[in-house]
Amino acid sequence: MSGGTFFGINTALRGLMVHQRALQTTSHNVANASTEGYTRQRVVMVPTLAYPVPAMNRPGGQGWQVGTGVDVQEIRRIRDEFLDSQVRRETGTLGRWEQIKYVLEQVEIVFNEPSDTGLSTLLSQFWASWQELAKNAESSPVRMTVIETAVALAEAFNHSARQLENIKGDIEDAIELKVEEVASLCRQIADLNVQIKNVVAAGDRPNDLLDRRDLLLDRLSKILDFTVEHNSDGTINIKVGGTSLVEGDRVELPASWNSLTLQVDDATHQAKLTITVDDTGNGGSTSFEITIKGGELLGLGEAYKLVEGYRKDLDTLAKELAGAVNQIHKEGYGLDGSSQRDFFVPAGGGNINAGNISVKDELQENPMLIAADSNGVRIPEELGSDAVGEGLDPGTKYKILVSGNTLELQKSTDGGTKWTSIGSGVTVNTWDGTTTVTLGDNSERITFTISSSSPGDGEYTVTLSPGDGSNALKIAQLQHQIIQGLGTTFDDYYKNFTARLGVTAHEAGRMVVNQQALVDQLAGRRESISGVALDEEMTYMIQFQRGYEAAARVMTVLDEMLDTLINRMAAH
Amino acid sequence: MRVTNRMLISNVLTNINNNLQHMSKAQKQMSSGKRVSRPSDDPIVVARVLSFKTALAQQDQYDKNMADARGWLDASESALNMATATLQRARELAVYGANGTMPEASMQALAAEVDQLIDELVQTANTSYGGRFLFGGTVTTSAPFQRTFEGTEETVSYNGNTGSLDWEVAQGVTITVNENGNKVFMEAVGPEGSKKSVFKLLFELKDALVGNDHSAVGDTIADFDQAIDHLLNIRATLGAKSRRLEMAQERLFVAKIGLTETMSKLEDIDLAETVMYYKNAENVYQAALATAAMVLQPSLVHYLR
Repeated sequence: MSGGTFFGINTALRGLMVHQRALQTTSHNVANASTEGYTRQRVVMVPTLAYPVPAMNRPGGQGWQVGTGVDVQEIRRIRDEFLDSQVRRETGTLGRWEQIKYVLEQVEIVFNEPSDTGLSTLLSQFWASWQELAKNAESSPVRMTVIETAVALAEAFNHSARQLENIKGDIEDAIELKVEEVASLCRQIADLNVQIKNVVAAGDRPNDLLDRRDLLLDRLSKILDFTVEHNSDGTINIKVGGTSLVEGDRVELPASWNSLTLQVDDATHQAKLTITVDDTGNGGSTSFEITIKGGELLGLGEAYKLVEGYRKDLDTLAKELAGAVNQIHKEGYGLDGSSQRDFFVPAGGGNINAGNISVKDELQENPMLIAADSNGVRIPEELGSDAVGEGLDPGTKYKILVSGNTLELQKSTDGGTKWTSIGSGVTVNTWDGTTTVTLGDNSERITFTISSSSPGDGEYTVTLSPGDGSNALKIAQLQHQIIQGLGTTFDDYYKNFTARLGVTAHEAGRMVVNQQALVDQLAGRRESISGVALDEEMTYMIQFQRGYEAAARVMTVLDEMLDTLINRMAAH
Repeated sequence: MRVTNRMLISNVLTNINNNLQHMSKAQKQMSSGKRVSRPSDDPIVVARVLSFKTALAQQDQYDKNMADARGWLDASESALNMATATLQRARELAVYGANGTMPEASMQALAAEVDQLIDELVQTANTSYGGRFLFGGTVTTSAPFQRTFEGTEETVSYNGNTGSLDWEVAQGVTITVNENGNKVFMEAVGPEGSKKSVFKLLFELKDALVGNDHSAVGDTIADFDQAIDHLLNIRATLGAKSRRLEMAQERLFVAKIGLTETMSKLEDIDLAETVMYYKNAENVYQAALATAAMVLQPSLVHYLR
């Protein structure tokens, strides 16, 4: 009826071994309590098959079955894979907004508003300087102020444009680094796939390798969005937007990265970033396209697009400002009577933008050339009209001497006492009201359209208008004009631009906070399931320790029983 | 829900970090005195602050323009005041000279004084303000009036032009600050269309006195009356403009105070409120630290022997 003399020893041995294994696992859990990505493991114990097994023909008759002890069925990872996919999706969104927030924080520093040194203040000062010039057109210090203020404004434009370009360059570098990180993670995952495949083939459970692979997937999820396919051999495939990055033990990505092209497609509401990796330098000849719809890479792409937009807005502002100021400036006259001069010019040529806007050198060297005056040289009506001068000095008196058909330009530097001729006399044959004549020499001259009837002999005073600031006033009044290319005034355009930047940066900041909270919550739930609780492990430790002790005690009892049977039953 | 040791630690870290951030924000506000330091802090407030700053800068400029315009107008007015006094003196002399009993020697003495008055009036007409000639039109850098001899005839010529100095005193509103010397002095007396200058009038008086022609002297009196009226009219215009600007400046001053106050409300912190906020954040932070010290220590490990 019994299962044999030594039957129980084996059962006790199994108890010892299994509890030892369970203690070993508890020890492993405790040791990894702080390991990132570690999933707690639990020994799943099952009773071994009872003796005898149910069969038609079995020893000893019916009505009994003796348990044969315990065995370890598996060492299980306690993990919820649904949570994994949630955590990864939200981590990707977090990464995306973090990158946008980080970039926009830098852009905000570039524009430095509200402050006393931002473009807004400089624009105000620019308009104010023209107002002052309108009042003090003959004043050299005021003219200097206009130049200095305009130069400061142009330099602020240049500086901001340069900073935005730097940020764009930094984003390109960051994308390159992130793509390299993706390649590195993919290689590591493929390596782990190989190891996992071997362990699975041997029928074992590669728990710690799976943890490491999951951790790599978590990291990858912050950079881009992907889907995971599980293969029956324990390996996984990683796909991004239909493109395979990892197929089991093969990395589909090129090993090195030679160039990147960046496209952000925002035609569809869903933003996506396509990165093309050129593998030609690595022996391959095809380019590799990954379309990304989430994660840090998408955030970087979107941030790049935003910065590019800000640069364009800034360019538009600089271009329109230069255009409007130049147009009026060209119609005016400098103190030397000259006209048709630009105020702003593009440094290095081309079209004016925020990067190259600068104040014309000629004006910086001689602020007297600023066209504050809308009349220039005034000559008496008897002589003609439309007079333009060049090189005339506002401190000098000029007159035109008429003698018969000969006109001659004279100047006096001592207030009208002593007069000297400039150039030689010019003879006019027909007074028809359309011919232009130029009096004077190359350095000081007046060009005008003669009248239709010849003037009488005598001297005609030529006046310059050093105090006329009406053209400067026209430029100052641009401040309140709605500029067609902007659809609003300069000040409002810049204010709207700043507000838009603020709203976008604020939104990004809010999204990061919310998303961080969501990720923290999900990660907390995952930790709650998979994390190691030391109190719990201590409790299990006692349980397994006592289990081990009890099994050993069974072994002792059996031993004592056999001692009785073998040693105490001998004849004395 | 299971609670693990890592959860406790990460919660503690998150909370301590959050509280530190609150403290840092309050510290930044207290030290800068501003509620917003960049657009994302509060985009709407920042946009409004920028608008207010632009508006304030504009108003400051208009205020300066008005003050400058008043200076120019007042200087012109006082110059014309002197010119009027000169003409009144000349009129008195004309009244004396018109008296037939005046001996010839006295007539010559009167003529000599008129000659002085001409110089004085030229000087007045060449008055400069801040280095700029008031009555030369837009020729502000050289004296507009010059007493010269043309052949045997003595004249005062005008070398300025008829340009006006228009300054902006409010958005789109300009005011002409200068009175043109040609209008003031050169076209002062006589019938419309053939007006003569006050200088010509003085030369006529002088010539009549020199010529001992009592009736010709008497003929100038009516012209002097007209010239003095002419100057008085211009002075009245200048005074009215100056007063108008004074009132506008006062209005602007009140508006500026309002703007500054509103901007301050938008932009500046309420110190008491911010300090309270900071102290609160500091308390919460300390509580978080204390809680961490209590929560992180006990574990079953301590009790198992």
